Amino acid sequence: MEHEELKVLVCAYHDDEVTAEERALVEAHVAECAECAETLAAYGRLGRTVRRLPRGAPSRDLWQRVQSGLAPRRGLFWRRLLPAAPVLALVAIVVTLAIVWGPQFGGFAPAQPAVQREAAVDKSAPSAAPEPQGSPLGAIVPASAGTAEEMETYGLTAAPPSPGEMSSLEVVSQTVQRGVAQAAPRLVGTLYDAAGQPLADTVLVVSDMVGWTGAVTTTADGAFALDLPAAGTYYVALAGSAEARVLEYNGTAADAAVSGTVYLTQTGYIAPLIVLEGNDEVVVTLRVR
Amino acid sequence: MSEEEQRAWAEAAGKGDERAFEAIFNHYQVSLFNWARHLVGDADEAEDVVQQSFIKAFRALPQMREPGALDYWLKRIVYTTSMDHLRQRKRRAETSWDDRLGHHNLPGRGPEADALYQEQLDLVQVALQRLPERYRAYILLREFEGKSYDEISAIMGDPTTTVRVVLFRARERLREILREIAGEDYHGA
Repeated sequence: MEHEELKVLVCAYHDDEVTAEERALVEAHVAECAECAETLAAYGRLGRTVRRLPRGAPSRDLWQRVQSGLAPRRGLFWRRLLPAAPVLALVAIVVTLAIVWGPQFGGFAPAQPAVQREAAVDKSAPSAAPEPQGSPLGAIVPASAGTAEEMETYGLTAAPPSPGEMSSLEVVSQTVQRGVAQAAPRLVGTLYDAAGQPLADTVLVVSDMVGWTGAVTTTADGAFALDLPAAGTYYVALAGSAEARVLEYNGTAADAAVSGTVYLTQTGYIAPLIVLEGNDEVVVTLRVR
Repeated sequence: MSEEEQRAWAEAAGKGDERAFEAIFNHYQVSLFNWARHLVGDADEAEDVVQQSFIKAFRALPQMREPGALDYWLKRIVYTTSMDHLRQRKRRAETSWDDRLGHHNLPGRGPEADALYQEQLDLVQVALQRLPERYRAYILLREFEGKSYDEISAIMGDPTTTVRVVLFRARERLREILREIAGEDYHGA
């Protein structure tokens, strides 16, 4: 064996990372080679010195710094919504005017009459799906699917939809009764299938942007009602047998049985977006695509 | 932390459980900080490296292939982040490590045993910073962290046969540097 190879073995011997055969070889060599004997001793001294290198603990605020480093990502969604802010504001104004002036001009009726009107539509055409009525707060359709970075950040494993693809849930109509006398914002409505038939015993998952998630099961006539924790923006997803992931906007994720139609995109989830400003009651008609 | 525990924490954190991620942080922060500290040669900069590393880890956890190897995976992230940091430092042409340790008169220190001990420690720190980064990482993993060749292989992504050779070359280069900066006064190399 070449001396250079033996030197490598001497180093591994110092680390106790040799076979029995190699150990015997090294010990026999070191007994005769002063250079390798000195090298072995030097490795020992060096190792002892390196082990005594200073050790310490990081600052106590390091965890806060890590959290703050993640914080901008948590705000990503809101920053991306900013360009849409004027549109949302306009929509809010239109809704308010519709509620205030609507009944006088045959426009939007207050919450309860709206439900009754939907029911009347269904009676007149029971087999037909409710047609969209130009809901001022319809689904927000993102311009494109989630980026690879978002997929990585949020652990999104399902394939993103094609650009422009919509949720399996569609908002057919939506009315808002502002500030009605009730303890909390409330979401009520009716769910229909693609053929226009009321969907009974179907679970809808409602999520806000800070981690709250609620669920409600439709009644025999497809109706549902759910109290919401506070004013804000909510997303509605259709629960189902397929296991998918509801993504929350703070970067965490909660597993839930959802039909896989909730995706994070550059502008948010592809799901119906519902905005509540106060203790409002939102009446929606949803349809499964 | 056992492999099973590492897997459980990693999988929970990968699903977005921030408490699991905080538990991982609390468990590994000190060892990762010390690993980074001697890789980059500065405690303050090491904190920045560890901060960036945990942020990267948090974002990459859902894609982690071997949750049971969390320890090695985090060390690897700190290593690559440290290397990025050092490259940026070079570009910024910051003060050299010798300048930072300007209070050390490297050759020919006092005769007292304590002073000699401290001097040798300082010399080794300076010499480590002059080593190629990869060699430095190997020396630290083996001597400072006490990692086995198999563990070093897992962290650095090299075969164990390579670990053996690289460690030999790293030690020899470190001895050369020590002789260069300390001359015959140094008794460790």
